[in-house]
Amino acid sequence: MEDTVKVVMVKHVIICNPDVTLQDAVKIMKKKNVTCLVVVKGKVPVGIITERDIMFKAVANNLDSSKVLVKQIMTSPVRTIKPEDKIYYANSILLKEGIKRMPVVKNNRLVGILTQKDLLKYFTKLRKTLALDKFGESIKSA
Amino acid sequence: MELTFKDIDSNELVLLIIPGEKVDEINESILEYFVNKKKAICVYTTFTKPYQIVLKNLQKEKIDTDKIFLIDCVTPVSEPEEISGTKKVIFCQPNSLTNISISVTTALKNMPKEGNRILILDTISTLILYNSKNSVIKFIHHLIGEIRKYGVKSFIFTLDEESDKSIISEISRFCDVSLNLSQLQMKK
Repeated sequence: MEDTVKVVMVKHVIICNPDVTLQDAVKIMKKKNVTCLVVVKGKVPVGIITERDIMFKAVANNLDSSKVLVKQIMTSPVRTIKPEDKIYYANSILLKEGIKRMPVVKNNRLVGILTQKDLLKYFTKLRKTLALDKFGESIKSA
Repeated sequence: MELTFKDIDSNELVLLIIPGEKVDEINESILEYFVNKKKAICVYTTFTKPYQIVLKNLQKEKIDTDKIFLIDCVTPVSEPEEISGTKKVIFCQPNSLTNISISVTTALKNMPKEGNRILILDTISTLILYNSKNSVIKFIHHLIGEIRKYGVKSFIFTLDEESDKSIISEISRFCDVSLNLSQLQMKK
């Protein structure tokens, strides 16, 4: 049976409020050692802010990070996926839309995040398992 | 002093301490006896030569390579493990003892229950280049547990070198017999 997003996603998501300043958001990113934050209102994801957003929208335009708010530069609306969606479907969305991560939502509420890195780990493990299965089968039939 | 294969055939787990220059010769003798004569299925784990060289050498000595399955821990691979087109070779990185252990266990588990079966680990001395001595000892200890579980006749090769003495003394305690082939001649 094909695995679902739930198997691969990371449940602990680092979030921020849309009304915090960019400076505060970057401080959270630094403290938590992450490259993006999911922007939530209550538990509903309303956007995502990544290193790329900070570079291209704030730094390149010489915005004052202590004054500009996250909601002004975040990517919104954010593409989301459901925990029960298939992994291959999630992968196809990341590739098609040229994004590296997607918040995972259940009943519109944030329950996790899926990244390219997580998918790469999953496919590497899968490849290894398949290789071992084939190897085992060929010994069995010797 | 001479040693025949009949002498070691009754033991399940044999540690062979071999001078470097004799490894190929001993290896080929074992395979000729068990694979060619006794029609054993062999899982051959190589830590020293890539699988192409191993196969080429064995074919040159007229060993039946159809019954030999290789775990190649030498050929550099981009992924932790992948399979070659033949489905008879699997690759592991020498520093990934966990992956090697999983591959060997998978092989042992899938070997037919009937008939002769052998496992060769050639040569564990190489593993010390990539892993700590303690990790190698733990790894071998774990593998020996798996070997006992599946009852597969196994040969563990180690080089007769000063640097390997502590490993040899540790591992020999877990084996049925350890033979130093520096002093013994193996006779077919």
